[in-house]
Amino acid sequence: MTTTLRVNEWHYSCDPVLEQSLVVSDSFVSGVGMWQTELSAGYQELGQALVEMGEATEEDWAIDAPVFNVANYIAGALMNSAYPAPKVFSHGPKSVVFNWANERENAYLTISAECVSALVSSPERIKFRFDVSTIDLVDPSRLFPAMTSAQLGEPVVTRDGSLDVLLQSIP
Amino acid sequence: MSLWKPLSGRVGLVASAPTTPSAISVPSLYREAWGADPHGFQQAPNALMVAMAQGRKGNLNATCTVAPNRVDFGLSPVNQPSMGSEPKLNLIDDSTVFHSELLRIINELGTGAIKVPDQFDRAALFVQFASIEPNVMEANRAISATIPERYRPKLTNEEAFVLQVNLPRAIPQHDDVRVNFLTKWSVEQFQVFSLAVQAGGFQGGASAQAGMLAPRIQSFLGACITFDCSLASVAKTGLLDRERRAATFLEGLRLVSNALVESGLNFKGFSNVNTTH
Repeated sequence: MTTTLRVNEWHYSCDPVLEQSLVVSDSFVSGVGMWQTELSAGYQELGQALVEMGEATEEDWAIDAPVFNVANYIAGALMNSAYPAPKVFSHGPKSVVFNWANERENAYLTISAECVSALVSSPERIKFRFDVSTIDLVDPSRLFPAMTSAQLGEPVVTRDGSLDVLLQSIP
Repeated sequence: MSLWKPLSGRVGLVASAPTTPSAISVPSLYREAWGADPHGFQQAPNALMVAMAQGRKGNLNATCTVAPNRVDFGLSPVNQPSMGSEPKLNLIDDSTVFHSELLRIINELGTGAIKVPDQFDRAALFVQFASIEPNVMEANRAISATIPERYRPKLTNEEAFVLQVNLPRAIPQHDDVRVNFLTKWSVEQFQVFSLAVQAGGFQGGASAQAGMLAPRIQSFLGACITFDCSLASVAKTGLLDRERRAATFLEGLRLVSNALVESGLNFKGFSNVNTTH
């Protein structure tokens, strides 16, 4: 069930009352709606970090414009697929590394202007590795369920950001 | 008796390649699309947040939003001034104007009159129709009547009904392009929240409520039919050209028209009858 909150428009009525009209939110009863607040905060933070790196002048902090564009594109695809927001693990002028960590494993996405590399590793071994050029990466959202499947070792069902349907990825 | 009307429409483009976030100016896009300056504009502090411009196009609310990796041009009903009466959920009265505005946006995206970077090449069309009903049983009756017989369940007082079907297909003249065509039949709850403030604004005082009147909330139950047509796959690699982009949108509009007819709903403007759903 979709719930849409709307507020009536600004107007002057007979008594001196002003009423504000605004769409406050659309929320879904399903899990997606509840995720969105947390997701939004994480990605706001990531977006701001990318802006600061993109605008920095010091060589140690700055990332090149093509890297900035690709990193934003990948992050947008992650967000649209309701993937947890990554942290920025490291960066340099030519690349940014996104990271998701839990007790057992780490997942890394190394993003450069020409290439995206995905890596899932545990303390014992590398469990998943995948490289793709940015030209061939038409739909980044498909990459991340595959990474999650590799992390969990079992099929993963995720929400497709472009459609309101669920996809299953099998390692 | 059910009174079906359009509720909202959206012509969207999704990026299939990285773009330069600063290349898109939301107010400029709004002006190109709707022919006037927006009434309101909210800038996004970074590319992972949404920027939005909104205003009026005739008797419709018009918006232009730029979200991560997508651009959308939206139409929705205008909320008429309530003059202190109960909040109301408005629908779009004139389906002809609604259809012609959607078609105009699609055509102008096709000709390049609305300048969106080429990386935004995946077309997505969203159109929603609704009938406001007094209770769950009436809403279920209204929605059941529009569901084709081969899908139609027997409903009585079940709540939160949703049925969604996707029929992917290739588009005419471009069989290398496949689209998903989603139809969703549902009963939705809408809440209209009205905040009133006395003219002159906050007059001071210790209470945070000084100058504010009690908010009013009114709930509405709507039987809704929602159509979502978006690009599924393209046989060729590389960015989709404008011709195929426009063809995807036009096919979506045609499929919506056909589906409405099959649902027993006739809206002026949506009158193209061709193949069944």
